[in-house]
Amino acid sequence: MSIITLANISKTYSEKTAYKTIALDDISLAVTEGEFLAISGPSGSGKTTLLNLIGGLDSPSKGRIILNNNDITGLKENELSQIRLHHIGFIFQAYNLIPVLTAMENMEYILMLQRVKKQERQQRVKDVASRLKIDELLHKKPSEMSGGQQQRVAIARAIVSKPKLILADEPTANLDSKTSDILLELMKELNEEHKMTFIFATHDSSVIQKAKRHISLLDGMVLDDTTK
Amino acid sequence: MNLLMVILAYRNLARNKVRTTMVITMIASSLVLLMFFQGFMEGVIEQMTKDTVRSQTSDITIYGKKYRKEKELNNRLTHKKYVLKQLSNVDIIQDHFQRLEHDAMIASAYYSQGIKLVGLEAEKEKNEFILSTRIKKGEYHFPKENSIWIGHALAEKLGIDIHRKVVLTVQDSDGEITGEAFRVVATIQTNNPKIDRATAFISLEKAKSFFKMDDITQLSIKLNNQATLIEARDMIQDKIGDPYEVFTWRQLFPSLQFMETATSSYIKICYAILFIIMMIGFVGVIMMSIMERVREFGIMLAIGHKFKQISWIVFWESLIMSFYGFLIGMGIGFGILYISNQTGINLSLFGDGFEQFGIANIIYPPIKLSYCLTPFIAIMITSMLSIIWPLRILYKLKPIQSIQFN
Repeated sequence: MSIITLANISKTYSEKTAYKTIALDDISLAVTEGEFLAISGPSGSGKTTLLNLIGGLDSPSKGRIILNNNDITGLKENELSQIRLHHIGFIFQAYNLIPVLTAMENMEYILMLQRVKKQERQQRVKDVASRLKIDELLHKKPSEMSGGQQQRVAIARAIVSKPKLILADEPTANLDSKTSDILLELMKELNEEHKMTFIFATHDSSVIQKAKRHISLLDGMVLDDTTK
Repeated sequence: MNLLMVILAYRNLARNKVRTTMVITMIASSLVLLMFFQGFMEGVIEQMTKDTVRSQTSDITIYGKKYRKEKELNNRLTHKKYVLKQLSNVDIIQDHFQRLEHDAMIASAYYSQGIKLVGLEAEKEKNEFILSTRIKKGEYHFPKENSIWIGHALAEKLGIDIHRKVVLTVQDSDGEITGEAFRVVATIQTNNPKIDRATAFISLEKAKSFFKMDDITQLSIKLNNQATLIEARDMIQDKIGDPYEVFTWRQLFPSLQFMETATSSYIKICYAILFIIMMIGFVGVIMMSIMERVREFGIMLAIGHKFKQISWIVFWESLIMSFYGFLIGMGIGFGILYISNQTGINLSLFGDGFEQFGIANIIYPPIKLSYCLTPFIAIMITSMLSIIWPLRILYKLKPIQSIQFN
């Protein structure tokens, strides 16, 4: 069953000016539940734009995006934020934890937005922290953690609300290869154990190697779509 | 949920302690200045009102029908006993004071000039009128029949001091010119130039015999409650009827009322100017604070925040800073006002001649709770208004634009 379907998606920037840029050109693809998908391509190929459109952070110039059988194209920002809150987890290249909150609070924060009760919140945070081996980081603020630790917490934040879809934009770009491998392994386990769908936008060959499906983009078009 | 927003706002404020402290200091110092200014101005007006009104009359004053227009003895308040009888059973009246005023000529060995001669009930007036507290030299009583108090500036012009003699010349009620020698037993300084430069006081009994009449020109009435001023005036007018005119002190001194209104408007304008300046400063700070965190807000939107919730965070940040600024400003402001109220502000340190304009050399600013309320409302409104524009800029950005914002 498709968790996400893109139908003839195009994204053009500065459309009515001389600086018109086509970031995505008539892309159609479907992602089924539980996939571990890597989207790669050179800089400017449109992989991050594609991820942003799937996550409802940006809107397409043409085409439709279907998430969980719901057309999210043209939804208002408030409706999109609710979809992101309940159905999508984000992992960013620069970790992007809320700097004034501790690791525990960063994880708990999304559950609070979802209005999950305190007892359940704390239980879920502890479970995820234990699973990702970040128990000792829970009371630290992002500024007190290394890059790898922060990304681990960012992954924990993305999965603690049990979303069906996780979008990861260059999650290993700022990490050393060892930490990168550990985190990728972790995400792979989560994918296999909980059937969470992971979509990566990446340059990293180790991510591409671990992916079950690999889409290669060039100049906003799908160059190759391979499933292992 | 709102508690979470408050916690986030608090922690965000702690991120840039210097900026937060600067904003709080800006609000607090503005408030201190405004409170001091308002207290000082109201102190000046209160003192001027007290000096002007309470040296001449009480809450309500009764005159003969045409006396206010033509201050002739022919227009004096006649049938005094009838008037007092009519007022005897009015429960809102606490006390009444009789005065007899008329023009006179005063002369010393060196100088002479026209003055207002006032006959008054010294002992009775002691606690209601301010003259007893404004004796510059001498004592507040008339030890002999021909004792006289004169304004201190008048004494200087006449080239005399207490214990010296002056000669008063008046036209009595029969139209005859008559004169007597009086001994100065006190000089008076009220900050009311009319009194200090051109008024002399004798006992009411002496004034009656001097002017050869048993009537008075003015009957002042002290009320139990100032709030009933207008109603009391109307009621008294109804009781004593047409041959008399009844005035409240505000009607007698319209210039004071004008000054009171003008000062109040001036204070409001100052408040408005200061709060507009404060709002501009506030918008700048909030704008900077938001622009620094656009990316962070973008991430928050990406993970499922609604824009409304981000607005709440910014709102709480603004409100918390304002509230601390308000509390600190109020604390310092009231502290300064309290000290000034106790010690007085000595204007002579800044220059001479204030008394020529009816302003005392020492001002005692009052302390009023209203000094809290207006700034509190103004600051809260300012803090709320100042976040609108910065938030509008943020609102126009899509989450991805916020995340990619540089």
